[in-house]
Amino acid sequence: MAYQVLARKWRPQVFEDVIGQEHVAQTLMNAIKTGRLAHAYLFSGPRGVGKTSVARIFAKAINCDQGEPGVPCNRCRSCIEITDGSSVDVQEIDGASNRGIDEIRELRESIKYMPSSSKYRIYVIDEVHMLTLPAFNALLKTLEEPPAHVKFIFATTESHKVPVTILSRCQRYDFKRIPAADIVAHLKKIAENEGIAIPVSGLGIIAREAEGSMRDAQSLMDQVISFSGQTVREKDITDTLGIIDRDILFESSAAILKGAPKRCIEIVEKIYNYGYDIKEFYRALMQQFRNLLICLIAPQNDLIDVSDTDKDEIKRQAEMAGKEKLHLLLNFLINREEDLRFTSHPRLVLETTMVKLCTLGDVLSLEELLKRVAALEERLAGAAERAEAADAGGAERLRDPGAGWPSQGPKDRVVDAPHNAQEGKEKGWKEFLDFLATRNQAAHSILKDWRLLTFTGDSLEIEGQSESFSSRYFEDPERYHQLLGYCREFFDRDMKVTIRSHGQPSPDHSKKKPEKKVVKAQEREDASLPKTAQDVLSLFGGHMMEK
Amino acid sequence: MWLCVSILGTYFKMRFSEIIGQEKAKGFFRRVISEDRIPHAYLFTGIAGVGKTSTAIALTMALNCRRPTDIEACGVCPPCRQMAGGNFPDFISIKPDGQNIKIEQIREVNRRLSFAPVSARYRVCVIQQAEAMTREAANSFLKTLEEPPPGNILVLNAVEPLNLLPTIVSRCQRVPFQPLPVEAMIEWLVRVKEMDRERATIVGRASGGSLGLALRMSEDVFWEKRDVWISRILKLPSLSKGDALTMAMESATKEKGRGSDDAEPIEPGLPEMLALWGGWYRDLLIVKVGAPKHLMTNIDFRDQLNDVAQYVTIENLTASLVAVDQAVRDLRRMGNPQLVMGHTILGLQRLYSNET
Repeated sequence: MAYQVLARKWRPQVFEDVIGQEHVAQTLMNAIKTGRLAHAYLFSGPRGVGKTSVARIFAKAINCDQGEPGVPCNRCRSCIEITDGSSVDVQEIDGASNRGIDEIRELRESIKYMPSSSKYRIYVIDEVHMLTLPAFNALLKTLEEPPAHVKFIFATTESHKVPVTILSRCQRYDFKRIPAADIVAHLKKIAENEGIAIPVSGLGIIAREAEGSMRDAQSLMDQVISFSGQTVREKDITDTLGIIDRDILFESSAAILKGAPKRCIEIVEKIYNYGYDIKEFYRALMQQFRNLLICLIAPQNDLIDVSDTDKDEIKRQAEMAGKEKLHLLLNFLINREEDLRFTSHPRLVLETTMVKLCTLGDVLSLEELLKRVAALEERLAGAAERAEAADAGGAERLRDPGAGWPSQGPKDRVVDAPHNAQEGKEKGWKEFLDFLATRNQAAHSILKDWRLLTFTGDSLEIEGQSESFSSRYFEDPERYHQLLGYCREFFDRDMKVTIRSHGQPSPDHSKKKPEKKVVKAQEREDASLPKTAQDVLSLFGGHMMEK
Repeated sequence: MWLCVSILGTYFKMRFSEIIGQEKAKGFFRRVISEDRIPHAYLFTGIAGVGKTSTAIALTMALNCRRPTDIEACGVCPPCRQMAGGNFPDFISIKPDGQNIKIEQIREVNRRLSFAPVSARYRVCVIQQAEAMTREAANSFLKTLEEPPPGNILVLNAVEPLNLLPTIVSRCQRVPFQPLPVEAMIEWLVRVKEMDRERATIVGRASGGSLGLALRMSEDVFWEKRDVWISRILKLPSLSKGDALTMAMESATKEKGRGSDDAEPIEPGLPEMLALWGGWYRDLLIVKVGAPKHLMTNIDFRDQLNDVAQYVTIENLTASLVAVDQAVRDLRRMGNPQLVMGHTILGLQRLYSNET
């Protein structure tokens, strides 16, 4: 006889062998014993927990006439025919392949005939969620009141796809995931019977990977045996199943928390060459950050499934990072998961994501942030008092939002504008032009021929050439703002740039920055006004008409 | 899977000893064949072009050969010769019809499997790119996959199991395939294909360990395009918005590309160009973070890479990589190349015009 995989060989044949579904098995057995059989059943639950097996056992049990009620004998003709799938009275239909209304109509035709040799005609429709809506609807009348000799059994992994009108006509049984301990016990029994030496800890790994599905567990065990033979070591199991090494995970989280993009790229290279699944690794990485976060939020709780030594390391890393940062990283990972799911270059996306995680930077905790805001408020309050004390200077300070923020922008290139020293002024201007040349060639070549009129701490006045075609270059608001941007970048503060085209004042692009000389005069004139009025005037650039 | 690789047809005859690397998978089959405990359903996972289909062919030959030694097929008996000639009646290969593997294709497989094999001991049915199965197709395969009629072996090829329905994965034995070691592959290209070492290194590294992909990329049509594509990305930052848009339209209309299904030779198109750009930004990232040099792909543009890397930031590079990846996905989904390329190229240009 040809080799059969463990999952088929060890398919349960009586209710007692079904593992982890006692609630279903017991109910069905009692129903048979007391003769209270419904005409339609729906079995739903995750993959590989015994739906199809129970359906077959149930079919055998109600058609078997030798065994005691509820226990199929597995020896009579009916039982044997059902087991090898050749029975005429018990038909197992693949709902996913025969999903149209035509197939259902055919089925309805055949229902009227009496069973050939057994008590009942039983239709088992597996993967019933794939039937089309018309097919489901064509089944409704039959399903509600079938002939007395007909029983329906539906099995599906996705009961939410089955219409409610079908659900309400069936007795529904929800199958549960099988507890890991039960899986281990069953695998142990199989291993003993098959003469395979495998450590219980290894079976535990298999059970964990199977996520409560017995068929998954048996498939994985088959695979492990095929790869390593009759004697299986724990290491073979982790190797064969591609379980990601905890060390690599710790290394990755450490690299990310330390902000070492180079290390990240090396790690991805390692994972890739080892043949790990990139998506699997990503999942494990998310899990890792979840563990880190949980360790901070609920340290006593037993939510993290790791060894004690790992726990210490998790704690160390988590405390290094802090709750806010972990939150941010985990959020980012979750958001980017979709990128990885649909990409055709998972490795590239993983590298990008990990490098990005490194550069997300240090996040201040909320308390720290609040502290800083409080400090800032204090400073501002102090500034306001000083502003009240001084007159024109204070008003000017408030008027210019850029002046209060000398530290904004990158700090590596602060060029102080020289005050009134002609030589320094020319030098600063020249440096700015050099800088401009690296950014915007066109603007540079135009500006280098223009004349610098005034250049103080926060304002710049230049005069264009009158006859040149380029004299109107900066009249385009977009270009003008670009120029302002360059100035801000170079001088690290907001500059007022005034462009005169050979004597005439240029059209003013920014209303909030009126010409300086006029404002100065106005301020002096308004110095006697109350402070608030001064502020309003300076904010809107107006002046007092009448007192 | 950067490019779609089809090795069937070119390498129909394949024995286990001719497959490069994949010692784990070979060991697996050596064991199951010699112990005669051959499971009926396999899931081969790994990137394209590392020997999944070749292994399925080798498996078919080994199982049906009249005089095998160990797991090696003899190559001269009738089944072996039929296999080599590509007319073995009991080798079924299903590949996507257009974008997807459709339910009709799987129904046809189910029907064919219900008859006994024509002459073989084991009939082998290979589903190429199993992740391309529609939901309906995958579901209609479940029953067959769990309990196929005797004498049938089902092989599903996929990149990663997470791309498949869990109900499918749980019915199969998974056989993982690793990417081929890049250095060994470069040596092989130089030795067997007599390729220029620099070119071999570039395609070897860019392929990420997929031999099929490396072979395709080393073809002259691709190689000529490569220079054009790289020059595009090099000059992108200095272009004005208008010129960038012109370039986008040009790329979208000219780089049609042709799939491997057509009879004409394969012509690389937009997806390949974007893949190359992705590789370019990745190289910049590698230079920028100072990762080991052996990871760099486009070594013939080493100087330019080092030069450009001075002006860019890591943030910009990661943003560009995301943009390029998004473009590949959009192209696949929307099928309006002008729109996608316009968006992508202008987006990339905005990232760099502030910098360079």
